[in-house]
Amino acid sequence: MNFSESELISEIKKRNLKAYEFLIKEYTKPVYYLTYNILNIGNSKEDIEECVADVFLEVWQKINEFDSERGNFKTWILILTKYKALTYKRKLKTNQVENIDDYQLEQPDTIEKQIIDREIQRKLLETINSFNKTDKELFIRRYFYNEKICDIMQSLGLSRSALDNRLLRGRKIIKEVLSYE
Amino acid sequence: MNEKQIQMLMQNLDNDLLAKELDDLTSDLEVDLDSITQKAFNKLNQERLKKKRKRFYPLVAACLITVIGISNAYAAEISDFVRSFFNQRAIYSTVIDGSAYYLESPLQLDKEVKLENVIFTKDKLDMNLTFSLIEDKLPEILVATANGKIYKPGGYGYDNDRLLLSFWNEVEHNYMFSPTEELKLIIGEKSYSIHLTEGVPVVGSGEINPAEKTNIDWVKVGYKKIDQGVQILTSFTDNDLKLVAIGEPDQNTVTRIFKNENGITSSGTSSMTKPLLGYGKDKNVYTYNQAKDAVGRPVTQFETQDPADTEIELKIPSLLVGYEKDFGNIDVAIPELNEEKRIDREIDLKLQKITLQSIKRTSATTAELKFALNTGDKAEVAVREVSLYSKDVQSGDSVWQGDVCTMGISFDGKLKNAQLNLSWPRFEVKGNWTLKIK
Repeated sequence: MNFSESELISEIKKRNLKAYEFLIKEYTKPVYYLTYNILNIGNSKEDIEECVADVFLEVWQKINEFDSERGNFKTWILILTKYKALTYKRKLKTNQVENIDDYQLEQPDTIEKQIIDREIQRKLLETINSFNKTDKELFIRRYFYNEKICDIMQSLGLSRSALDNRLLRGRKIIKEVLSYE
Repeated sequence: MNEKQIQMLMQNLDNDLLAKELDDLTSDLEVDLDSITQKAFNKLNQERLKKKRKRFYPLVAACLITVIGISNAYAAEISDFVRSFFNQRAIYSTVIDGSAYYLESPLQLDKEVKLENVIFTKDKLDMNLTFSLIEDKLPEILVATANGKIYKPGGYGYDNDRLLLSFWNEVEHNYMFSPTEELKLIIGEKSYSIHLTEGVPVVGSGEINPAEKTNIDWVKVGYKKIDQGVQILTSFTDNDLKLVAIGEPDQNTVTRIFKNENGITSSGTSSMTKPLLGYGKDKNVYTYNQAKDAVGRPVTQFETQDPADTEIELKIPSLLVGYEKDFGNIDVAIPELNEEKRIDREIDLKLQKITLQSIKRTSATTAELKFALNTGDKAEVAVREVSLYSKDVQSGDSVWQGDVCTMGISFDGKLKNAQLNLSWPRFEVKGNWTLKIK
């Protein structure tokens, strides 16, 4: 059974288990990827899966806190993912104190819900796909997953200036392609 | 273009367009969707424990069955009659089909925790503990059996330091068990070894006396005498049919309600029955009540104050019986406002039939369904209730009375179709059995 995003939200609110199943199927990859990047070092597949499963339970429990008129559902789920993964990270690495402020966390309503023309979306993705593999990963991790710069630097083996340059160059290309003001 | 603008664009991409990019990024990762789905559902089930169907069993000490008496009439049929109870065992105040174990006497597990009773059968593992919950939160509890099975709480009730646990098979998502004599009860980080006792077979532990003959040949009713009264025994030709209660229902009208809100919540009229009446040769009428502080359902032990030397005719007007199974779904189209649609769909509940006659839209968000009950040909069987549930609606309430059931449903105004699930039907079998107790 497939649900549109608005149907999915509405059905979760009605406690439809099929919607819960669809939520898991639809969002496991982005949730898993972000969790993996936060928990990856030293943590098992089992820990990552437990954390991902907890994120879906939290979506189910907190669905009424999500305002579909104002926020983006995907972003909201990813923000819940970050908080959950960081909580796991603190629990799993008891010797290492993580400061949650180190992570750039957007509040659920700070990324406004925007209806973007499909053609613009396609152009944006085509442009990102034309980047080399590293830049493509960099863009998705930084702007879709909202990962912090130092984490990306570390995992991609880039210096801060190299990373900033790549991001700036990419944004310029996208701006030209989309004629974005 | 600044960071905020590109972030806004990226985070508002449609899922289908983004899917390929995410696939590329996660191509090196082994994402086990099945495992994550199972974990997420397990967590959800744990979360919904309190809202699940709870089964409560009050306390009693195990009751010894001491039976005297001599077999009476219908001698030629006695062996068949007795054979029908071969598989049954007495546990606390009830009788169970198949192998069954129980805790012979309460067990102090440690300073604060006392195991009061345990019933372990092929379809139930229930425990009653004296136990203090912290902030009403259930600790991690599981039962590990000698045959390698693990069971976790599927529902619980808590009142005044008394914890009632009803376990389920979390791996298989069912209430099917492999009962064993030895088990380990694990509460948090503590583990306790529990030894259970096998229930006493009802055949061979005393005389079973049959009820006077009736026209209903698919139910066998008999009794054994016990210290305080009688233990009533029943068996059915249909192995799926289960006894719910003995006697005439206390309430003739049954109401059932369900809500799809923060999980599924449901409630309904209880299946309590009236006390049985015994008519003495001394012209007195004696009351037979269900055993006090009974453990286990259905309660089959009845206690009385009648004088032991008086011959009594104990009347059992009815038995409540039921199937613990699913009877499928019906798709119902929601009519337009004030419109009524005929459906006339007959539903066979094995022991009796019902017919969904019509649905009428009573407001933008409500409708009323009408069922005709007892449309089958067994005059002695009346449908008492059926669990009617729909995941598509917000709530439903049904009233069952006589030959009619009316069900109201509330839903989102845009709903066009609803699927209605029928399960766990219960029936009243009006057999008017007589037990001659000597």
